[in-house]
Amino acid sequence: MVICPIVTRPTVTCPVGICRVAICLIVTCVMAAMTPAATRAATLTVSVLDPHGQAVPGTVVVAVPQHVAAPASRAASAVMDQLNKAFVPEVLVIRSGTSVVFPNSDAVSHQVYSFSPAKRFELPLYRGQPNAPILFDQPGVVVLGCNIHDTMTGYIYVTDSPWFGTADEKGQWHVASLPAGDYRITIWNPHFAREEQSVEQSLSLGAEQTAAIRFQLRQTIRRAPKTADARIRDY
Amino acid sequence: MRHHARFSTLLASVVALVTAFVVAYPQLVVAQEYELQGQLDLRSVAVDSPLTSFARGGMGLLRFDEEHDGLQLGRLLLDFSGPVTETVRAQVTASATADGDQNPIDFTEAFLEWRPYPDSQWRWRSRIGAFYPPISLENRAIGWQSLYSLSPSAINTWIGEEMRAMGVEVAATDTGASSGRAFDLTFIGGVYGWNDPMGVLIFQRGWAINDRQTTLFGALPRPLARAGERDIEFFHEIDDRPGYYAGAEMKWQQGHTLRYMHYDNRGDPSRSNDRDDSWLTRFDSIGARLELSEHWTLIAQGLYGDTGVGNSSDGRGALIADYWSYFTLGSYRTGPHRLSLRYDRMSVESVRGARFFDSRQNAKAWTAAWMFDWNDHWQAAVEALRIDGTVGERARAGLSPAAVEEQLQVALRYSF
Repeated sequence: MVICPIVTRPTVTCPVGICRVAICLIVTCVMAAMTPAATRAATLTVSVLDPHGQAVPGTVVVAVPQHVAAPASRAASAVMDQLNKAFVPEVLVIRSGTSVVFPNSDAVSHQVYSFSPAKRFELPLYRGQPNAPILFDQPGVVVLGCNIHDTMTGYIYVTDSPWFGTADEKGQWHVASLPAGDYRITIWNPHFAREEQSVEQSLSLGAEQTAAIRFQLRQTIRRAPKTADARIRDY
Repeated sequence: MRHHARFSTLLASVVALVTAFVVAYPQLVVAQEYELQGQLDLRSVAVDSPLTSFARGGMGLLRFDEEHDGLQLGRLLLDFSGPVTETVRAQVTASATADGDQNPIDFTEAFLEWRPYPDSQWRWRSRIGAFYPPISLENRAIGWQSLYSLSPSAINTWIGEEMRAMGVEVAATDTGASSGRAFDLTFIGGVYGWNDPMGVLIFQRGWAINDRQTTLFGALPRPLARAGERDIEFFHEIDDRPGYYAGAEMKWQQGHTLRYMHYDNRGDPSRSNDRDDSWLTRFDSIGARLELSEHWTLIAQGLYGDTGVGNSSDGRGALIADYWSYFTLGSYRTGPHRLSLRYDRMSVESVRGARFFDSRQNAKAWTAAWMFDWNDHWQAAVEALRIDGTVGERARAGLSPAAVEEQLQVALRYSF
């Protein structure tokens, strides 16, 4: 899953090159000061496997810092599309403070809503681009629905942590820039059995440590195959 | 006809109300969101059967008989749907079959659906108008057509022939996604009128297998009609007693579906109008659809009930028949192809007044269909159907009660 690039911030404008040089110097100094910390960063690989040892791609993985200073949240944006009467991606993971746009790539209108405590909203019936993005500022799982199409269900996983992602085709997620310290590694997937929907492990990472942890589910994934017959209207 | 006029008045009132609303509050009306869809379905038909089709007043269970061999109109279908306000949608479906029905084109469904914005894990949906109660697990395509074959099962053929709810339906769904549960649970109930003749066809002719849906102002020839008897109009209020249905549905991960419904039209069998009797028709239906993989779908449904007509001390009718049917359907879909095979079993038994009218039917049927989606507009289909069984009343018309009826249809459908 791709997290959308950070929204462009205003750049400082200086009339002459001196200003640019000064900024470069400052930036260089700051980077130099940060370098020891950067080299002390730990690398973590998280694997998510089902009871048969098969990878579970698409699972949300979050490294939740415990007494570790996380970089401040910045304005960011992400996209949750609607295509063939389905949310794409089915699960979007974002940091709190991210604005999400909900384009509709279908020919038919959708009416997106959520009544989840982390974000309640409704987008009036629309096609194409919606009016304004929605800001997600509270952590939690936001379940999306379409008031016209009952079969449409999507999820936005909002976390305060800056270290998150989704497992790839091998069921793995890598992060190479974790400051040393204590973490709770949380995984989440809407298709996990209810008791295992949100599972976590605690982890202590030393400087420059390369760590790998594995989540092995006890229960099989519940996932009914999608019937993508365009003729289905359902009565 | 008085009741027919009353229903027309009701329909006209709904249309007038909607029009008035649109004129009074144009800002609330969501424009340019309407969808008009349609389908022209042409068939090449070959039938091998000793019986005349019910559609021409015979005792045959197929839509076509040997007189129909050749090119036929399967159906011309027009479907209009769109928002009236943010949360109210209209849907109107019209249909023409060109087989001499009293209106050349007529409605099969017309209703308004209200879906308020959900503000909890309960999702509410209400309908008012004329519509199919949610019984079929096959008839999922536009125009309430089967997704899997040309002709739906005996159970859903009967729903299309005799049943329409004209009234109000409310459904409440407890959505699983928001609570981490793997399934949605829906409770559904409806109150309706204008369906009192329902039961006459299954009583007099038995179960059939065909895709001819009776339109709201349409009719079907009466089986074994006596001189002067007019065609059956199913959608009339005769006894001024509303009927109801109530049911529940479980849907796993938007896939596997389990559905139960109890239906009771609360007809007063002692009443009649100038054309039809009021029938007391009640049944229970249970069905499951399993989406086994992206290729395989399995559907099984069973329905058991009774219907009665005529004056009796217990109010159940002087003539009563019990009926049941079940079917199992396997469907395989790969790319643009869908192959389906279905087995239907049908039974009707007279349990009161059999010496006056013997409703006995005992039949089984196999249906095999290949459907090919050439593109978004064109679909081709081939369906072979064989019904083998007996209907007691055929003897009264001097026919053999037992018959094997076979029908081969090649359909070419253009959708827009």
